[in-house]
Amino acid sequence: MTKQNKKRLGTLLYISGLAALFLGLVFLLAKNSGLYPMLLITSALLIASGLYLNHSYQTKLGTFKLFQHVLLILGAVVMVFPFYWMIASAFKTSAEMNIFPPTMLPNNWFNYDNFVIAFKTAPFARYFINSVITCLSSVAITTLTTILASFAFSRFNFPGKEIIFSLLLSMMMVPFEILVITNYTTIVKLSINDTLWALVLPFTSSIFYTYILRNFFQSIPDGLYWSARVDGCSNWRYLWKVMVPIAKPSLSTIVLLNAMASWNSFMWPMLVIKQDTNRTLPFGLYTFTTEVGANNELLMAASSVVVLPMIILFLFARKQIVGGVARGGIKG
Amino acid sequence: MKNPAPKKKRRFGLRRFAVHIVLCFVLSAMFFGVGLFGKNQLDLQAQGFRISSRIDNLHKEGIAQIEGLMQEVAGEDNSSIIKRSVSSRKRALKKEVSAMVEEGKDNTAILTHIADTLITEASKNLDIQTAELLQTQADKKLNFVFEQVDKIALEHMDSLTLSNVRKKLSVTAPLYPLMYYSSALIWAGVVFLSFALVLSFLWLKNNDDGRAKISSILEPFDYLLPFFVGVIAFTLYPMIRVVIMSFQERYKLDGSFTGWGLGNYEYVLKGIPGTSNYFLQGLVNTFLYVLYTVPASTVIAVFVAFLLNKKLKGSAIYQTAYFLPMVTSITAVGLVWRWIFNKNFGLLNALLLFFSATPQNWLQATENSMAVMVIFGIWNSLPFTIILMLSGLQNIDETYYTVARVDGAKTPRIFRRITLPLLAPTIGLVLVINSISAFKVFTEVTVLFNGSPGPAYNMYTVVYYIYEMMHQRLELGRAAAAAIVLFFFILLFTMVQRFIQRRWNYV
Repeated sequence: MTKQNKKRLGTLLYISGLAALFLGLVFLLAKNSGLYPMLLITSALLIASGLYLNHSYQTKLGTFKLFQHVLLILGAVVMVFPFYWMIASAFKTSAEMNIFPPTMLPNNWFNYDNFVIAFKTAPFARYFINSVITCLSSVAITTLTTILASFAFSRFNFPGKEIIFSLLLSMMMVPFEILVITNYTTIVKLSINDTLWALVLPFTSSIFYTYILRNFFQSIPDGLYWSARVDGCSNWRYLWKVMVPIAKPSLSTIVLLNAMASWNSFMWPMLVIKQDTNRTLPFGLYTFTTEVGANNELLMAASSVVVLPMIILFLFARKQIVGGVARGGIKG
Repeated sequence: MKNPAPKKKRRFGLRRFAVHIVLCFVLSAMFFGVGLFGKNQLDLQAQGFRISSRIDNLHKEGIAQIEGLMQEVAGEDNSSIIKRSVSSRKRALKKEVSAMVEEGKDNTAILTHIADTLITEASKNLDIQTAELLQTQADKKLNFVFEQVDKIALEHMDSLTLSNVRKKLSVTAPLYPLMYYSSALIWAGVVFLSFALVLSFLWLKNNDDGRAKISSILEPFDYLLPFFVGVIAFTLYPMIRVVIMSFQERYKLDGSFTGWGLGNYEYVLKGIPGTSNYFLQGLVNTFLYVLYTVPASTVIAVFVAFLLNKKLKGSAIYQTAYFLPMVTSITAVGLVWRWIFNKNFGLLNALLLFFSATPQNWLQATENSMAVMVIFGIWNSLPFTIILMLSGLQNIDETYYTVARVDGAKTPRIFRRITLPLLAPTIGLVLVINSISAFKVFTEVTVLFNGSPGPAYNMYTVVYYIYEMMHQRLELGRAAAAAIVLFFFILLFTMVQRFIQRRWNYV
């Protein structure tokens, strides 16, 4: 096919696509539900292929790029829509929720009654504080033990170091779902079930984060260490004054991944916590579902509260989180 | 490498050494104190147990034996009268016995009292002849009965050793952890004390050079200790314990089990004959879930990552959009999807209607359960998969693309001929990692089906089964057996993962 013909065919397809779009809109307005979806899809295809044939040889931008954007936007809509739907539903009244087909926008975007009712029905403020306490303390302790241990594994020589480390690595592949049984009995036997201690204590050291940080520490050249030692710096000072500042990117990744895991953890709190006042947000939210039954607008309001801190964190620290996940190959 | 540190460095070492000695002494004192306190409490507890066991035995065995004796003497005709009179005094006797035990009377005195009360009570109801016979005859044989009861009571008391008492403690008892772990705490005290003694011996024996040397040997362990406390208590110990537990048949939370053997595995794998075996169902469901979710999400992720990898305007926005489900709690997001799947007012049914398809009863119909799980699972695992694919794509050398483009290759061809083959190891790795994490599916089931495994108990997964065994049925041994079976499958996947990593030199 010559360029000229290609261009002509493209124009033809484009025009017929526009016609199909017009027809589809007419049918849509006439509420003829049988035909218009097919028409709209056909029109989109016709317009796209028409544009492709018509422009592929002229523009440097290329239709591929356009095509790429269209695909990516479609995918992004699918990924983000549940979040939009959650927030939109949180602002709807219960009458609005029970309309089928559902409305895309709530009538009143400033209708925050659902949040008020949700906070009155269940102690979400308490859940929030619990979540913050467990998250912060577990992250702080884990980070400390991780820094110390990975420094020891990267800097010191002691008998059995390699064997211990490879043992640790093989322990890494045992999933928490298997350890959970014995950890549960341990926590019960220590009589700290149903307290916040039970949520922090099992998560005070992590082999995985130690592995990541040790790899980073080992990549720091030895020269730095010896020159610091010559200047009379102890190992302890060297760790906190030199290594930790250098390792800030790695550390922030570890902290973020850990915070995410702690904030979102569900199975463990469900096992060890019974009292209402000791629940964390995800578990509290789950028990909330049985309390409110079919009132989905309340559930959506509560879900928004649970999800929001992590979304904000993600918006600010996307690069670190994505980098950490890519490096670790583990789910947050 | 020779350590070129100046003389000043030694001071750090000496201080560390001294601090260690003091710390070890302090810790051993602490452990001893707490451990001995726990032991003391346990002793008190054991005494209480013994007293109550003595009361029980004297009361129960004593009455039973004396009643038997009376029956024997009085003959068949009067047995119902004797039975009635004994049971009428039984409750009152219990109080009297416990009062006498508290007063410190010995067994014979108590038993004599029981015999007296019972015989006088029976005599009131019997005719005079039999009553006399009873009183004269019974006295002769009572001594033998007393000896018997005494022996039984003693045996019971002897069986209440400290370790048995520890097993009998209720988990909710006050000071339970101190009592339960008292020996362990004392042993820890012994370990620290001996450590402290060894250190002080070394301190006294060595000069400053030697002390500094020992201190440098000690140093790494200081850094490792806090880490290893957590690892040993909550990773290493559970790993070993869960294997042992899986062989303890019907192990319960209070530590009781019926015997050693493969009973747990048998129960888990065979189930109760005649009923549906939820573990196998869970295994099948889990496999199907992995089979549907992982390849689909990988294929989608490869395309999305390929599109995202190009230098695009607004790539940050796209990334934010695509990666959002990764950071958000599965619980919250699962509730949103439950609302989307709602059969009356849900978004998905509205969409289906929009495309002239029939709306489905997503959450309550058993045939749709797997579809619901898979849709949610793909959506949920997509961000993670895309990220790994993206990092795999970024490892591919830019020059391949340049050369291909110079040769006039178009994008689809580049994708097929360059991207896909070079990405193959990453794809393999991602498949395995995703399979492992999909194998552990639990939260999705719980949240989507509101706390039950599917609308008609049809969506058990392996981890859900473990959870139910552990938390609802309190059968920890069976849960452990199921966990070990799960571990073998995960181990299989992990082997493949290790192989891929080694074969293509991934970290």
